Parts: sequence; structure tokens; C-alpha cells
Amino acid sequence: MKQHNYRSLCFVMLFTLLVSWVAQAQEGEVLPEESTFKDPKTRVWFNTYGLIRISPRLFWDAQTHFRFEETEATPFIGQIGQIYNRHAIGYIYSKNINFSLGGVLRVNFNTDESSEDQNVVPEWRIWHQYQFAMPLYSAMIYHRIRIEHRWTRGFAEESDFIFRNRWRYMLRAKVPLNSTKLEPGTMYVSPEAELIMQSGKEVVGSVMEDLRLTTTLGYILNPRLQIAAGLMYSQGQTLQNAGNFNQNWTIRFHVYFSPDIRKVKDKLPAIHFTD
Amino acid sequence: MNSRSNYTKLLLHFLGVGLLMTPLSLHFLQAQVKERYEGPLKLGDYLGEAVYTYFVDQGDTILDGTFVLQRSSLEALLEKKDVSFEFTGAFKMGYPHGSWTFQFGEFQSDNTTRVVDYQYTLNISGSQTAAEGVLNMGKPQGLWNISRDRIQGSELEKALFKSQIFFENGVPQQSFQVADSSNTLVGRFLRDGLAHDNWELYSDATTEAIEVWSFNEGVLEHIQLQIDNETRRERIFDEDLPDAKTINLEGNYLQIVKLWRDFGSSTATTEGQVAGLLAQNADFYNRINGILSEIGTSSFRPEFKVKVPFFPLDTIENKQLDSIKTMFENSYGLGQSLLKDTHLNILKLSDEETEYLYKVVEILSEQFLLPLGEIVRYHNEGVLEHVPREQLIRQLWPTGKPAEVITVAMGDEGIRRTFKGPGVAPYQWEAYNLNSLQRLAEYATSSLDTIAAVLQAKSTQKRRQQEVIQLEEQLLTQVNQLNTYVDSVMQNIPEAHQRALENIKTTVGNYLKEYSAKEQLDQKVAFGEQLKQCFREMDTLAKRVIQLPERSNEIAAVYQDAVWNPFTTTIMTERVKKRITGAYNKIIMPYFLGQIATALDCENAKVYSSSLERLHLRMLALRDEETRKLERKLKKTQDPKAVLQLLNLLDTENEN
Repeated sequence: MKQHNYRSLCFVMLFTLLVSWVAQAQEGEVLPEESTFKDPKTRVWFNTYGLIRISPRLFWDAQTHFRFEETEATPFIGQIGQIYNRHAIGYIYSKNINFSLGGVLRVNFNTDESSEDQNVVPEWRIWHQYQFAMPLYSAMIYHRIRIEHRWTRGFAEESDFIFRNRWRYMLRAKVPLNSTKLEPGTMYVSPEAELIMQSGKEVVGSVMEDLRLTTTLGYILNPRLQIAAGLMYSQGQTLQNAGNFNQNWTIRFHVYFSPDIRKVKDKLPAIHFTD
Repeated sequence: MNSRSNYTKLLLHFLGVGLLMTPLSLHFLQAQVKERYEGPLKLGDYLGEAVYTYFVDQGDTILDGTFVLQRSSLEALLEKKDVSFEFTGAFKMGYPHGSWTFQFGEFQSDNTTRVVDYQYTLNISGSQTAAEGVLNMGKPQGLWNISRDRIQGSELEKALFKSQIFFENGVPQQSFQVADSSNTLVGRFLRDGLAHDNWELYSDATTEAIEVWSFNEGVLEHIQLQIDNETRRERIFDEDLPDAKTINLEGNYLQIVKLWRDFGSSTATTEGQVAGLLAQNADFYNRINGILSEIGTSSFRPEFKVKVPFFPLDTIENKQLDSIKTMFENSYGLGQSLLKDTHLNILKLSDEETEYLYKVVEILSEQFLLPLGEIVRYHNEGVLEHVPREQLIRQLWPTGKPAEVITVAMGDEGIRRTFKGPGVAPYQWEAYNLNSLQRLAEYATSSLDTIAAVLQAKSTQKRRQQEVIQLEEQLLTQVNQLNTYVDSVMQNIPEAHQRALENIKTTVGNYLKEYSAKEQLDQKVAFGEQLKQCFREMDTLAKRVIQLPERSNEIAAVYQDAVWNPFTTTIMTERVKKRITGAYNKIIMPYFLGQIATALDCENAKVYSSSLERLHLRMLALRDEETRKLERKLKKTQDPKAVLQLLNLLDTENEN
């Protein structure tokens, strides 16, 4: 079954690339009677998030993620899947609202052990993000809208880039567990749900790229350093056939750091923006 | 060419000399420049507004030109009464010179005003004294009028005093007239100012003279008085005085005359009125002389010359008088202070010994010292050399001099106790001379000293007892207050603080026990005073300890930074300089609280409380200081003293 799916996927991809970019490409795909859910894949992500203050209102958003996935022999951490570099310049509109605009270079590794295609291909994105936070009792609630313009290509030699847009909304909470507020020394739990929609000529029917449900346990070492770890379940339609769904179980490790490289005297008044 | 250069040289020479001369000539001119002063001036008792001209000569202010000093206050007049004065005249080279008037007024007003000729007028009542005449280089010249009038409703009501004397270069001449409201004295002088002939006093009521002083070239030969239609004639000085001396007719002369009259009469003499008039006159002249001599050189005195007998004091007698004077002044003051001592006055009611000594002091003061005081006074006034000493002494002790053994009557039963001063004979003072007076003074002095030693000790003892009572009340109040408020906070304070407070209470209690164990009054007072101070320190320390939790919170709050965390988008307070706060909370605080709880005494209580205070201030200050180095050093030590040293707080710790 698994083998079969893989073959048909390869076939579809080859077909798509060789024949045309247009929608007719999927002529051969037939939606199944029922949605089929692939066996979940297991993954481990090591993510670093840096928010580096560069002026009272601006920060540099620097993220590097190392994403591993299972091999046949090793679950979770079998092989490197992607190395992910996300950068942006962020603007702090107020304590609770900020915006970012930047680019992503993702390096995709060919994880198909049997493939004879290229081992590594780049993926490019331009992204912008709008985040709104609101306090709720002792917790904080975050709404994150992230829009990405994404150019990807397959591992096959000479394969062309395809363009898609991603529409992402994430609802997240951070609930302090051992304190009445988020402060140094606080352990918090952070449930989050993110829906990633996509659009583009190549996207036919498979608009829900991913739905991620995560619970993370975090710890605030100090205002500039946090660590967190969590487990994510995700599922989404495959691009080739909207009736088919990928599933993933991902263990995630996060390090959040926010150094302030400004001089001490510049820091002080910027703590409160408008109040 | 050559002659031209010579000409130039000459010109330069003159210019040079001219330039050198300029400062000299300026200086010369400056000496002549008169300046005018307008402003406040105080002459003796008189403070008013002055206007005068002067010049400065070698740093001295020399008055020259017109002079006015006056004061009057309408406000004071309306309020109650005004004391006004106005002195007008002129100076020449620092000497009063020219016509002068002096006016002194004491007025009250009836507070009713009228407008007359575009001026407000106000009626005044009181008295005005005026003196006017001419001064020649500081000395009266020609006729001087002095008058004192009573003013009623701004009109002259009655002449209270009037004096008219004619001077020639400061020396009174010819006849003079001095009058008060009812009598007039008329007399005359010789050209050299010596009183001469009869000075007669007339009353308004009679035509005959009521008192006559007969002078013969300055010697007052007799005084004739009319008493109850009887004429009494008293001989004063003999025509040929053995050693006559010419003096001014002033207060001391009148005193000399009085003494001589007393010597000549067995009964009390009738006080005549001439002396009074002359004394009044002398007062007026002295008053003006006092004013003038404050600002310039003058001798404004009536210089009435008279002759008196002279019994000069020899060196030994002068020494004896000086010694009597010193002894009198010390002993009389001592005696009075004992008699007025409130503790003794209370004590003498219950303590017989005190009563007895108190009475001896009274006798010593009255019978020994007071007559000696008269001698001293006569000596000071310059009278002593003009009266026969023996007679004077007899008169001062008319019933004979007091005996060496003093007898006092005690209580209501009149039990007699005797007192004898220290030392044995020769306390003999029968003779009527200064030598025996000196012995008398010595005896009185040494007796008083002996008694004073006893009485003062009694007084001190009494005072000590009262002090102790007061002191103990204060100490108990202090202890009670301390215990009360320490107990009131005990519940709400951490255990380590409780232990410290408990020990403060215990220490104070122990000191109080130590105090009660002392028996000597002196020791009690001295120790009690120390404890008062000590308890104050303990009180301060207790308050500081009670403050500590609050202050720790304050420090914790201060050692925080507000940091914006972009991941949580919240502002987080972050504890900063944790090494310092750590040292404060974990090392220094336990150290101080431990010390207070275990090693507290009067000596170190103050050190602890001031250290705690300084520590707090230092902690607040360190928050904003650059402390990286300090924090590194703190990392290496756990020793409280070393930490205190690092915080620069050890100096105080070691003080005292």
C-alpha cells in the first residue's frame, strides 16, 4: 500500500512536470471515494528563534530550524529533512501588535532513500506576518496571521520552480503554570493550533496544506532566554490529490533568545511604547 | 639736532616728575575732602537718624561741620508713648564747637488730631528736657541753660528744673542759679571755679533762705538749715583744712559732706535740699557729657570746684582695701547664693543642721559683710580718702564689731547654738582701722567657705536624690515604650528578626537590673545617665530591626529591571545584580541579626543601627553604580566581614 502510494506520487509528479504546469495536469488524478490518510511520519525539529532588538521599534527576526525525519530504520531523527533560515525585519507597533516582513531560504534534502535525483534543492519565500496579542487573566493569547509567497521545486534535475501562496493563521496561548504571570522562572504551557491554507495554479483542491495541533511546555529563564519542547500532530492534503492526507507526529525543541544589542541608555525609555 | 634732543629729554623729565607727584597731591587733596553721612547712629543709649559731615584723617573719622542726631516716632507716640530726642550743633576738627542744643522728650498723645493750616496737629503731654549753650572746642562757654518742663496738652504746664550757669572756658563763673519746681538755689564762684560765699536756697513759700551752704574759697564751712522755724547751724569742715584737696562738686562730694555731717551729729541728720538740686544738676551735665564724649573730644562738666579734707591711703592700706574688696565680692556672692538656694531653703525646714548653718550665713552676711561692702563702695566712689577712717568704721558698726563666736537661736524654743569659724586667734578686729577690717573679712570669708562646703554638699545630695527619682522615671518610661512596641510587632516579623528584638529587650532589662544593684547615689546618677543614652540607642536599633523586612522588600523592588520580552510580548521584571542582593539577603542580614541576637551591649548598639542605616543607603546607591567588579569579588566570599568590606561598610563597624 505504502509502496504503491509512493509510486503513484512519483508518477504524478513526473507527469506534472513533464506534461504541463496547467490544471489539466491533474486530469489523471481522481479523487478517491473517501479521504485516505497516510501513515503518520515521525519528525524532530530543533528550532532557534532570535528576535534581536535593533532600534526602539525595529527588530531582526532570525530563525534557524533543523528538521529531521524518520528513516525506515530510525523513527523521528533518522535523517535531515530541511534546514530552514527565516529572516525578517519586524516593527513593534505597540506592546501587543507587531508586524514582520522578510525572506526564507529553506534547504530541502531529498529524503527519498531510493531517489536518484538531486540531494539538495533550495526553496525561496517572501513572508509577512501580523501578530496580535491579548492578555487573558494570567495568560496571554496570540493571533498570528502569516502570509508566505513560496517558490519550490522538486529534486529532479532541471525541475522548475512552482509558485504558491500560503495563508496561515495560528491561535496560541501561553499559560503560566507556577506563577501568576509570565516572568523569569515561569513554567508555562502553550497550546496552539495553526491552519495553513495554500493557493496557486498548481493547487487544485489541496487547499489545506497543513493543520498543526501542538502543545508545548516552556520555561522562561530570563526575559531574554526561553526554552520549550512540545509535541505536534499535523495533517494536510497532498498537493497531488486532495483526497489524500499526510499525517505527522513531530517532537519540537525550541530555543528563544532576544538579545538587545542597543546601548543601555537607549533601552530604558523604549520599554513602554505608548503608556 | 643735539639741542632738539636735549629739549625732548627735559620735557620727559618734567613729565616724569609730574607723574610721580600726582599721587601725593591727590592724597593731600583727599585729606581735605569732607564727606557727608546720613543714616543711623548710636551714641550711648541714643539710637537715631544722624546727618553730619566729616573727613578721614589717617584712618580716623574726624567730625567737622554741622551735626544732627534725632529720633521721634509717631507710631510709638500713638501706640503708647514716644521717647524722642534731638541733638543739634557743630564740630570743628573733632571738637564740639559752636552753638548746641539738646532736647529729650517723653510724650504721650491723647490721640485726637486736628487740621490746622494744612497740617495735622496732635496734642502731646509729657516732659521735655532741653540744654542749650555754646561750646568752645568741647568746653562750655558763656551761659548754659538746662531746663526740664512738664508739658500738658502741648502747652508748658510747669517748670520742673532749671539751671543757669555761666562758663569761661569750661570753668563756672560768677553767680549761678539752679531751681526745681519749688526751690531755687543761688550761689557764686570765684574766677578759678571754686565755690565761694553763701549758697542760698529759697523756697517759693518763704522769703528767707531755708538752707544756706557757706563756702570759703571752696571749703564748705557750715550748713544752715531752717527746721520748724528754728535755725540750725552745722559745722562741716574747718577753715584751715589740714590737707585740702580740690575736687569737683559731684555725687561723691555730696556723699563726703553727708558723712561729715553724720560724724558731727549724734542724731540722724536732716537731709537738706541743696544736695539734691546739685546732684540733679550734675546728672544733667553728665548726661550731655556722655553723649558728646561718644563722638568727639569734650569735657562737658560743670567743674564746680570745692575743697575737701584729704587722708591719703598708703600702699599697705590700698592693698588691704583691694584684698577686702576681693573677699567681700566673693563671700557676699557665695552667701547670697546659699541663702537663695531652693534646695537648702526646703531642706532647712526639716534639717536642723541646715537651719543652724543657714542662720549663721545670714549673720555673717549682715553683720560682717554688708558694712564691709559699704567700705568697698566708698572706696570705689573715691570717698574714702576724704573721711577719717576710724570714724567711718565706728559709724558702720555703731554697736561694736561682731564677736568671733556667733550665736543663733534655733527653732521655736529658742535653743542657742554657737558657731566659731575655722582657725584660731589672731582673729582680732577690735581696732578701728583697715588692718582689722581685713581680718574681719578673712574670718567671714573662711567661715563662709567652711559652711558653704557643708551646705553645698547637703544641697547636692538633695539635688542628686531628686535627679535619681527623675532619672529612674525616664528610664522606666523608655523601657516600657520599647517593650510595648516591640511586642506589638512581634507576630508579624520573621523569626530571625524576632530573636534580635528579644535580645534587645533582654539586654535592656539586664542593664536595668545592673542599675538597681548599684547603691551609691553618685554611681546611680552616672550609670543612669549612660543608660538613658544607651536605651535611646537600643530604641533606635529596635526600630531599625522592625523596619528591616520592609526595607528588604524595598531593596528587592529596586533591584529589578523592566524588560520587554518580544516572545511573550509582555514586560517582565528581572532581578538584577543578584550577587549583591544575594549577599545582602543571605550573608549580611543574617550576620547583623545574629550579632544583635547574641552580642549586643550599650557600646555596639549604636554601631549596629548606624551600620544598618548605612547598609540600606549603600544598597540603594549600588543599584545604579557600575558594580561588575564588585559582583565578581562577591562571588568569591561568604564571610560577612569581607562582604561588608567590599561594600565599604566595615569602617563604621570598627569605629568606637
